[in-house]
Formats: sequence, C-alpha cells, structure tokens
Amino acid sequence: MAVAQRLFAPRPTIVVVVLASLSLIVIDRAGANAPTGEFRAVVRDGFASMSDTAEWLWPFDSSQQVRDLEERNAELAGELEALRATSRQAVDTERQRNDLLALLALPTPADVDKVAAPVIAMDSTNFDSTIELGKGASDGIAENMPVVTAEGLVGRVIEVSESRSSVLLITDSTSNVGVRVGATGDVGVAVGTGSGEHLRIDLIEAESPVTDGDVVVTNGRQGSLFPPGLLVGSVASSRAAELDLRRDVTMVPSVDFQRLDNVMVLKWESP
Amino acid sequence: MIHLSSERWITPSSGSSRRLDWHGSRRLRVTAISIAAVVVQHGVMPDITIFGVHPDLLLLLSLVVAITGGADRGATAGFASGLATDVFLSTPLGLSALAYALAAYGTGVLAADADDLPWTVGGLAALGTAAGVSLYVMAASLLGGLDVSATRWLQVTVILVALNALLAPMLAPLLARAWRTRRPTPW
Repeated sequence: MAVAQRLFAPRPTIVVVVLASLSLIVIDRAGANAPTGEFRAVVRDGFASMSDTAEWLWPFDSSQQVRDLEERNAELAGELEALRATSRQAVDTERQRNDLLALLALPTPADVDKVAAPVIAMDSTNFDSTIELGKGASDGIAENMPVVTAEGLVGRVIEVSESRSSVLLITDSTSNVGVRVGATGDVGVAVGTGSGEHLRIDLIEAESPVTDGDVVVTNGRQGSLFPPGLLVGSVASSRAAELDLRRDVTMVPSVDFQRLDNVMVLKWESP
Repeated sequence: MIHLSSERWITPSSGSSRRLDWHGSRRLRVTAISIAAVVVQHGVMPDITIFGVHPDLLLLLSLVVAITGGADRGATAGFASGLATDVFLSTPLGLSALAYALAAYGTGVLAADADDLPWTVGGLAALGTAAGVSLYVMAASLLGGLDVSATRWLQVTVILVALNALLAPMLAPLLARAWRTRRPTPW
C-alpha cells in the first residue's frame, strides 16, 4: 500500500520528466520540419565524430596505408554493387520491356545518379530495423531516397545528418513498399513485419494467380518513393483465405540484411 | 537484502568546498559512466545479439541508477538514456525517454522498500526491464506506428529481463561507488 501511494504520489522530477517527454513526442510528430530533426542530426554527427576519433586513435588500423586501402576497397565495392545491380535488372527484363514502352518519358533506375555508401552500423535496438550509412547530406543524400544493393531493395533514407544517414529497412514494421508480383503484375503493398525474415503483401486479390517463387518488384506508381522495377524479393507463400477478398501472401526479401557492407543510394525523386 | 548502500563507500570529508567537490565529482562520474554506456550501446551492441535480441545497456543503466540512487535520479537517468536511444530510432523522439523514465522511477520507488521485501538488485532490474520494454512497445504502438508481434515482444522482454537480472548486480557496485556521498542516502 505504501509503495502504491509513493508510486502515484506526484513528485516534481517525474512530473517534469513525463511532461518533457510528451512535449518532445508532440513536437517530433509535427513532421519533417520539426526542430527535433535538427537535434537528431547534431547528435548523430557528434557521435560520428566520436566514432571517427576513436577509430583514428585505435593503433591497429590507423596507418594511412590501411585507411587508403579501406577507402579504395569501399569505392571498388561500390562500383561492383553498381555493376551487379545493372546485371540484375535483367531478371525482370521481359516484363519491363513492355512496361518501359509506356514509360519512355519517365526516368528508370538505370538513369538515376547513385552514391555508394558503406554500412557502418546495424540497428542497436530491438524493435527498429534500421542501418546507419557512413555518408550523409554532404554527399548529396537526402531523406526518402531509395537504397539498394545488387540483390535488390534495402529500404529508404529516413534521417540525414552532414556525414551520416539512417536507412529504414523494408522489413521494419512501419515500412510499406508498393510492389508488383509475378508475371501477371498484380499490384500490392509489401509491409514489413519487424521479424527481418519475411514481409506480408497486402491487397492481392483472392483470385490472383500469384504462386510461390514469383518475383516481386517495386511498382513505381505515381507518388511512390521507389522507382519501378527494383527487385524486392520473391513470394514465399500464397493462399486464398476463406471468406476474404484478398489472398494471404508472404514474401522473402532478396537482400540478406545481416550481410550488408556497402549499398547504393539512388538519387531518385518521385515524379 | 541488498548490500549496495553508498554508505559502504562513504569517505569522511569536511568543509563546504570539499562538499561541493564531492557533488561535482559525483555527477561527473555518473555522466562518464552514462556516456560510456551510450558509446558501447551504439558502437558495440549492434554486433551482439542473444537469441536475436540486442542487449539494452541504457535501460539497464537507468534501472541501476534508480536502485542505487533513488527514484528521482532514476527518472532523470531514464529520461536521458531514453533520449540517447530515441536519437537513433525511427519512432518519435521522447518515446523511449518516457518509457525508461517511468520504468526507472517505479523501480526506484520499489527499491526504497527493498529492505522489507525479498528482492535483490537482479529482481528489481528484471521487473524494471519488463516494465520498460512493455511501456516502450505500448507507447510506440500508440504514438509511433510501431507494429510489433506479441511473439517478438515476449522474446525481447524475456531475454532482456534475464540479461539485465544478471548484469544489474555487477553494475550496481560501480554505480553505488559513483554515488558515494558524505551523508547516507536511502541506498
């Protein structure tokens, strides 16, 4: 009883802390121009500087030669990713050939400028699927730019500071990607489940002939944050739910998110 | 019984300037430990998973501060630690701060009565961890659009509870040393 009384007794510290937290939440939810975005960027850059300093001070890889080799290696890895990405486009070539006829006036992923960026950190928390890139606004990266590897779509940039950027993976539970499935081109939305293993595809009609193994690519419809034709993954299971107008469809992403070393940020702006 | 009272490390001193030094030094020590925890959490923990779960040093730190320093200090530490977590998350800033502050505050209140209860530091940390994780998931689901399955929630809670119950007794003496003061504190 005494514990309960003390727990709920108003004490200045907890009242101030709760009010401060709620104020921050309200301000941060105001949108992209919220002042908290600037605060995040400053802290991230500060942390990046600290990490860089620690890395520089660390005697085992601080020699200039090693650093030069690392930079060269990152550049080459980026170029390799670009080349692989180009060759992977052929997976969907047959269908894209027809689609592109209708999209001649629109830019395709191959036309878009790219920035190769190293993945410097994976998510450090348990309910968020994000990665940290070692490049930021100074390299031309901006919010909502798509991020890919040779294997396919990784996610989109959600936070940018001067030298770092944060990418929301497509497996995150808040991620939605407009997709097209299989040879029929059924349109749906790939929704992250937070598990890191599979995604759910919503809005596929019950009578759709979607089957296991069908290729899933971005649909790039108007307003989409992603260009059309980016490989997202393949269908893992598909069944028509009883008394439901939609199919239960799950997919596995084509990217292995545990083995991300370098990625490409597409300087794509939704038309 | 928990034998982590800062009285164990009380060192006699005299004079007001000496007292000010103690208070300044105490804050400095706790701040240093907190910064180290932030660096380790965001620099090392991303590479460490235990059954698919990253350890959460910042929540652990808030709870141990609450256990060794009291509810008010715990709430402040929870707010700061949560904020350091929020900066790297996609959910709104302040969600982890709110969850960690409330969990640490509650743990601090319970810790004040621990003499009358058969709980140890590990037990209190376990309870606080379950509260912290659950409060975060609920707040993030309501206000941040987070969609977490019950299985994942349970998985994270169980593993972090076990981990923090093990680690808290090791971290508590360090924090208790950092809090040492001239006068006895509740802990």
